[in-house]
Amino acid sequence: MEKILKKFKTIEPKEEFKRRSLAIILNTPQNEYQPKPFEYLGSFFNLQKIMGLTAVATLLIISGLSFLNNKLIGPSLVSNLNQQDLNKEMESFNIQFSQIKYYDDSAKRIEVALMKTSGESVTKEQNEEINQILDELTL
Amino acid sequence: MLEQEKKFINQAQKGNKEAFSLLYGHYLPAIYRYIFFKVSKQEEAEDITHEVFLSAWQNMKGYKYKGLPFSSWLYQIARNAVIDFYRTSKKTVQIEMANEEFIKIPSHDPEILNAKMELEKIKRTIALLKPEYQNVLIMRLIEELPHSEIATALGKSEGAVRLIQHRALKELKSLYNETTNGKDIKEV
Repeated sequence: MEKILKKFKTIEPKEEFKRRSLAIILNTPQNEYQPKPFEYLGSFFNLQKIMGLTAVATLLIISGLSFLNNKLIGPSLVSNLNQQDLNKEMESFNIQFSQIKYYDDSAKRIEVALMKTSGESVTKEQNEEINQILDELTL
Repeated sequence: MLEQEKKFINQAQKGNKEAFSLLYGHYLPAIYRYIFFKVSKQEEAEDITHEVFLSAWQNMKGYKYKGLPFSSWLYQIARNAVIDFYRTSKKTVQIEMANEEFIKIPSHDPEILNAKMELEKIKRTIALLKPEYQNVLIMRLIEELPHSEIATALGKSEGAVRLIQHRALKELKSLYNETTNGKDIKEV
């Protein structure tokens, strides 16, 4: 079939038609080229340029964000914030530790004092000690 | 695109008639054949072919080389001209025998006469195909244009052109076998 179809290439227009048609065509003036609206705009913003501009814009956005990031929440600021937080936390730990220690000591001393007062005679020194403990507790 | 052709196009764009004559002489047969297969009648084919080259000459300044061959531009004009022809004249494809003057094969030899009849039968069968199939078959199998050029002229991808070619050829063979088995080709 393909071979048969190739034989159609022998079909040609008549010589008379060729001459007549060409003569008429060449005696017709050519049209002046009028660009379509936005044609120049379209050719200016071709695909390559669009891609290039997009790449530049992306780069600018990324570098801008990176700059702002360094400026506003940069490493020095972050480290400062962290240091402050840590100091605050350390202070609260210290307070908690001192309270625990205080309550622990007090409990032991009260226990000793009560044991002494319950059965045994209290010496002057012991009495002073009890008073001291009670003072500390009431303060 | 050949450098020589590029030069002729540039000159024709500046109004050089000789340069356009050379382009005309080179592309006329192919464009004529394409139109001839689409309309079948010699007079109609001639009229439309004339319109195509007239339009090409008048709009030469508007042609811009964008990596597409000049022939693709001409085929685009031809395709639109054929569409306009059917739109305005409201005609259907006429199945008629090819004019003997077109097929330049001497008819006194019985073997060649048979071949000629075979060609005429195929031509009738092509006319039954969809316009899209006709376009691809004419451009690819008769004019032997590369797929890329056909794709440009028809505004399709190369893959689509290959697919259409395959389907068109299959349908052409099927219709051709139907006619050779005694069935008449229905007029479109």
